[in-house]
Amino acid sequence: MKKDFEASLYEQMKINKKIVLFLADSVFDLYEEFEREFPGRFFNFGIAESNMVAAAGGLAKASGKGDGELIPVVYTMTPFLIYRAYEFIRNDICMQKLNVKLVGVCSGVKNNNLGPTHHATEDIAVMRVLPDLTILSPVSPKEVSTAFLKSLEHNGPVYIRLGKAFETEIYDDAPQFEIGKSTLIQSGNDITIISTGNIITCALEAAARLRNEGITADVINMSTIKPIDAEGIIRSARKTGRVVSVEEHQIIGGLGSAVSEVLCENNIHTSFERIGFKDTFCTEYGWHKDLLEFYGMSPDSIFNVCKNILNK
Amino acid sequence: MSTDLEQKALDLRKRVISVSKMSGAGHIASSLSSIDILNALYNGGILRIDCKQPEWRERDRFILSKGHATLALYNVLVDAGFVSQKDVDRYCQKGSIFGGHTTSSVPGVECNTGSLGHGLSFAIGSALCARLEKADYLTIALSGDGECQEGSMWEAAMFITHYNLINLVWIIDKNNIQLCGRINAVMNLDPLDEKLKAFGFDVKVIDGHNYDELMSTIKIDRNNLPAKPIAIIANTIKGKGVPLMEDVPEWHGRKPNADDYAIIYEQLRMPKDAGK
Repeated sequence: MKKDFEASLYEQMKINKKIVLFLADSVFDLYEEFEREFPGRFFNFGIAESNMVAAAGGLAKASGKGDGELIPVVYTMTPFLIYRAYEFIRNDICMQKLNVKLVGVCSGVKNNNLGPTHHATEDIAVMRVLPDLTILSPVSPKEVSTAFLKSLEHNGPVYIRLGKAFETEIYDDAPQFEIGKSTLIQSGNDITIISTGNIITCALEAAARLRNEGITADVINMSTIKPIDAEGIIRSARKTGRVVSVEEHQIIGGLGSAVSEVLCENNIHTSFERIGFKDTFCTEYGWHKDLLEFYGMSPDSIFNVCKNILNK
Repeated sequence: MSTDLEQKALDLRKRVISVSKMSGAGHIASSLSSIDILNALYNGGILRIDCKQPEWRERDRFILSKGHATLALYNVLVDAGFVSQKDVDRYCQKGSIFGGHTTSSVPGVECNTGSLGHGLSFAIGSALCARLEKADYLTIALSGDGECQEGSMWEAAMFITHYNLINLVWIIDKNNIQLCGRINAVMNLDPLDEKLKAFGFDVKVIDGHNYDELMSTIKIDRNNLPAKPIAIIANTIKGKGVPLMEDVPEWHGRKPNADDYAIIYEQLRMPKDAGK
């Protein structure tokens, strides 16, 4: 996703002269190209995320609203962008509804071997509570560029949660993407699996195994975390009566919490289970898939959780 | 000019006191240390602003990074024509937009500040915007000195000099007192001038209550910007103008009681019915 985002950013900056890029010593593959192509339109703040985020707010405010306004895109590794600069995101961007795009890479545990300081497993929870913030979590490389484009068309603060590398593509063509709308990746009748980000590929594998046993699942790509697509959740939950959420994030406060809020507030009585980190940091090392397996987010684990719910 | 501004400042100080009395709120002493700086900016003609168009694109951007000095800023905005005294007199009352820390919902206020260590970075964005848009507006940020204990201030300081943001002027209201006491006892900042010089600023140390010094130092020529970014250390007295409060640490956040107000009114020669 990182390469896909950077390629998309490059294309958009060529077309859209309003974009200004802010980096914080970010792992960015295109420094030289950007230096050459966009002189004066990107700034490296050094390892200083708080200053960078507040300055993005200041730039958006000074530029004003309307034609010709500059759009700061702030891009760095998710844990540092969100945790280090959180109060700056809250006060200097969201509280003032400023048109800043915050893009975090290496979300979840994609920094598998760098350890828990470099993971972002609570970012959805802390960002979801910020008023006026839109949160996008594209599922696969092809959705990254569409989501980014849509974020630029949206006037207001947006956080885009990205993975890193080796994400499996699930779409043949660039998907339709509408902020606030989920996508039904596959349709079924027995259980609903709602996921966000590339971990949906694990959910799809689990769904394929369920199908072998004659069980069909709705698999929903919730690529907008906020505003959440309540209608999509309700429609599917009413049909299947069983809901499982899958996220590379803590089960507290994340997608699963958002789904449960929708279900409870709309009096939808379903079996329900959240899959994700169960109130624990990810302190193991190994391949990314090893970590998902260890913490119960592998296709096997998802399959088993679904089976248990179906057997209740 | 200086005499007019001094006269205006006396009037502003009285209004800071009367509004604080009506609301029972606000940081009085911090406002009194900043008020001459704000008066010079808004009423001395330093800022290029138009109260009829608070969002005018060409306006100079002023960021009150020490966002707790709203008693001062909001009263100054009355004189600058952005807001009415009647509305400011409803400071911190139910339904009022005028609260204890700045919010951009108030006409003439650029951003929400209050949590310290944000405004200078926000000002960087504004100065970068002017550079990118090839606009000649200036950005002026006023921070506190205790605020400089925040790490983000030094992130901002590094950025300003690294990118040579000469269209940004950083003023530090150096009143030497923070919530818990004297700054040099809580967490020493001095020698602040040497630190700022080491970061690459052209540092100017002035008397923050002297209008000749304020006017000549803060007003820079937008058509002939300085070679290096300017940081102005404005030496001030917390509570300036009210002897009861001057340079007394406990007045950072203390609310005056009826006896205190009687003394303050006496010291400022205010009519007894002001602020009722």
